[in-house]
Amino acid sequence: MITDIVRGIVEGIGLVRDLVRLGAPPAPVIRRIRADVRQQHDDALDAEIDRRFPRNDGFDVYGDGS
Amino acid sequence: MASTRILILSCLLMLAGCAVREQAIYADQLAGAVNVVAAELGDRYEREGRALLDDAESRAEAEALLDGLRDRWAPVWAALRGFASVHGAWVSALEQGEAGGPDVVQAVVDAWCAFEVMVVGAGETMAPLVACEGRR
Repeated sequence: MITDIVRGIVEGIGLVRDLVRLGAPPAPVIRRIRADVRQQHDDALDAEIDRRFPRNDGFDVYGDGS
Repeated sequence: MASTRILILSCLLMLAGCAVREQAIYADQLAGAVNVVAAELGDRYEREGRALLDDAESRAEAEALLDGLRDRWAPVWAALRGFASVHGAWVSALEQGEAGGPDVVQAVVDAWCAFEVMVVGAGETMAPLVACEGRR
């Protein structure tokens, strides 16, 4: 008698667990906001400054002022 | 009796699942729309910067002009970061299977509308996914 009740409870818990698993939606795939947009364009602008106005670090490698 | 309980449990699980699924679709649409606008704004930002560099005659002048550009655009990027932060928290909850409550949804709407003000001010348009009329 008691064994039957225990078995019933265990089976009931298993059934509920299976239902929860079935009812739970799969993890949704949701796009995130690309908040780093500014950084990539800032980097491009910094590179453009370097290209147009190279840094003068004080070394005259070739001795000709270049 | 047992079958009735199982039926009620199933209904509750289905409803919870639906709320998460609907919000996930909406959150994804908002991200897609904002990413498109942000990319356009980024291109425009860089174009403006390159145009300024055309007028510069020295490195110091070029850096000063870009500093001005960065100051002018700072509110736009701040609004984008603000929306990204709120949206990211919402998405993280949804990925855990938790639907956002009214406070979360309100925060998303507020951040979207704040960003939209900046976007419209910059001469771009946003997809009409959130009703911001009457909030400005």
